[in-house]
Amino acid sequence: MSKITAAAGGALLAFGGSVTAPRVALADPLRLRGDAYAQTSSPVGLVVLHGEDRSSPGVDAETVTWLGVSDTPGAMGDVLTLSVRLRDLTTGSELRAGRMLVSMGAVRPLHIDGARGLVRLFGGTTLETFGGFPVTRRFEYDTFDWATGGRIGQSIGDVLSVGASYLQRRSDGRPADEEAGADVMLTPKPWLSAVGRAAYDLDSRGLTDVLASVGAHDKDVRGELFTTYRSPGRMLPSTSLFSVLGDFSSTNIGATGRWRAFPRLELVATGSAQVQASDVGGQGLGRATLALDDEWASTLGLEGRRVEVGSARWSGARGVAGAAVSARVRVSSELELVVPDHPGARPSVWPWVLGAVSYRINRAWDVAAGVEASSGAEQRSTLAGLARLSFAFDRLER
Amino acid sequence: MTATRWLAFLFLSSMLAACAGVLGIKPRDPQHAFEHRAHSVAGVACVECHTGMSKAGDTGPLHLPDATKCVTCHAQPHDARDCTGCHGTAHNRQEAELAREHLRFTHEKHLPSAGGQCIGCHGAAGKIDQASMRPKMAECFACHQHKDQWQARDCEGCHVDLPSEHVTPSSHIVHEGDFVREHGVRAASARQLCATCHAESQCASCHGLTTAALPWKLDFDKPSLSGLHRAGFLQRHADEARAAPGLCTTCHGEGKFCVDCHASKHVGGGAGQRGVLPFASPHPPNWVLARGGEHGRQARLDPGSCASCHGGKGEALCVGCHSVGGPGGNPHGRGFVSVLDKRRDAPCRECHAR
Repeated sequence: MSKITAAAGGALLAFGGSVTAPRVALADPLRLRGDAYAQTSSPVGLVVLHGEDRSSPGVDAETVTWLGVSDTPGAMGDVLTLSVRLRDLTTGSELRAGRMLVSMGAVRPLHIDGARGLVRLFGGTTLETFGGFPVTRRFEYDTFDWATGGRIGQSIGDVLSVGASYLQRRSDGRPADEEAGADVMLTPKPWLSAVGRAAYDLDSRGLTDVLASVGAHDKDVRGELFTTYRSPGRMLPSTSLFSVLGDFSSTNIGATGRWRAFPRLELVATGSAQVQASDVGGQGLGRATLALDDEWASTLGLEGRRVEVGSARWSGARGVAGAAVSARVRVSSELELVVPDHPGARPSVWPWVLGAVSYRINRAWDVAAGVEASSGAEQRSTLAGLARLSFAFDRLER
Repeated sequence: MTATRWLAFLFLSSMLAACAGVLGIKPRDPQHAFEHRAHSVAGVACVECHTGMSKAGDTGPLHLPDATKCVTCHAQPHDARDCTGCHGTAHNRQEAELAREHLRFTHEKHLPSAGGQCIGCHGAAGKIDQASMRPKMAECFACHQHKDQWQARDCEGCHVDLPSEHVTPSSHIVHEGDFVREHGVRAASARQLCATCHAESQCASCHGLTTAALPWKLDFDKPSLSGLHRAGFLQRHADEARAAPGLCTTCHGEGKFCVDCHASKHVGGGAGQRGVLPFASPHPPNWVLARGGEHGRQARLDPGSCASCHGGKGEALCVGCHSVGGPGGNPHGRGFVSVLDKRRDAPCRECHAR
């Protein structure tokens, strides 16, 4: 049975904007950008507003609001962020208050209503701290009452940055979570970089999440070795029943390579081995992109992927094509085919296709429309229309 | 040589030429770097050609010489074509135009402090390789004031509007490889560095509590963009999640991210709806059996996915079987220890206080 989704009123609006008031000086620019996006299936969108008084550049504010049409009663929108930032331009220290995402060092990111402060002390030392209450939608259940934490970091130029972080989430007057972390970012040479982080669960005494990556590159080649370790049970708050089951950790070791084999041909390959409990699996991906012009405005791409980890076993192929028909018109298309090894009650092939055309009306206005169709594990078939209207008034003549 | 060999030779030549064209292999460009060094050695001051540069402000012409300037000395050019067609590269000119558009900079102000020496900043002028005549930012930081601005991430002193420049990050923050995997640790340890180009809103559009609108959706006409959720991700998200246990939870939280969508699509309890495949539960057969079933192992592999639907009040479903003395037995893994008080602290009390 085919299903064509067309939400009533089909109008979904996402207006992403950045509006900046002009400074007094005539040579300074006025900037404005907005995107309106519409689709006929599950209409959703974002409103992004950013305000900044350039005569007092130490203050700015921004908000991101999700809007949409949902089957859930009352689920028409949520404010994701709404915060004001005060910034000391001399030192770079800042204080942000409101609704925000907090991500400090190696400890897990949080979405809170609260405050975050950053102080640049001296000689590359920074001190960050935050506190707040969890963001919940429509006063629903959450796993903690409030949270606090911080990070102390030290950087040596752009070569080295190390930090130690701490997070505590509390519920019913008791710690729901306690996590400590360390992070490092190293760039000893312009062509060589390394990053790493590790988070430790202080409650159940074990590593939560580890990531390490070393990459080297020159003009045409880039190589990267990486490893990740994750204890999925420790990603949960210790107040969750699912945190006491004793989880199977997941370890991943792999490499990624990129090679600009010819001026218009780029090859990318990545592969990794994964250990989950007693299972050993892996996944790999290869991609070739051929440019049809020197500016890479028009490209053809082909990608193959194989996943064989635990009960997830499938192969996929994807083709992409994008062509600049003229200076104003651009057409693009994507096709993806996924073949699961064990489809069970699901179809044996899951195709997904997208066709789009965009038209730049002038320097300011840009419009795009597309059609997306798929069939597979979720629904036997879907067809949806997409549309986007963008406005960009980047600058006045100087 | 026989006709067959000639044909084969022609065919191979054509194929090679076609491949070279497709792959972008081209004859050498007649353009070459301008002979700055030769002119300097000959005693020609920079401002003799770049007339007016010493008074150049933040706006106005670029003061790049054209052929009429050349012929004031080279009265008899070796070629009738425009000098700038070969001497000097279009790239260098574009670079200067972009700098004029995006940077706040006046030569008039900087030349005196440089003692009138252009080469101090434009060091490439003395070299054969003049891939970029624009001084690197490190040259700017030689001045103490700019060092302070860099430390404070105050870019607007020099950059008109850095995000709108769409500049490729310099080598220390290459966004290549699997940057999706790497970006978290970089952002967490150098948040201010990221903030020079990215607003908080960019984080929120993925990491916010409600993430129904993914950023790439806005760029559906740019298929070459990479990302974690591209193409038919919705169709394969269950398999993606199984291949990377706990990964979804790192961004989407342990809350109700899964259950919101599953409930609206009538997957995961309740009746199915028209067009949806005829299984209302996301669990395969034999998920829960009298003697266990697959659910125990899967819960250990990715407890976050269980919690996303069965968290909070839904935990009662587990407690019904696994409470102390219950038919489900002890759910703790081998060697399980906890510092919590099993009769008072959550979640122990759910099973142990009964």
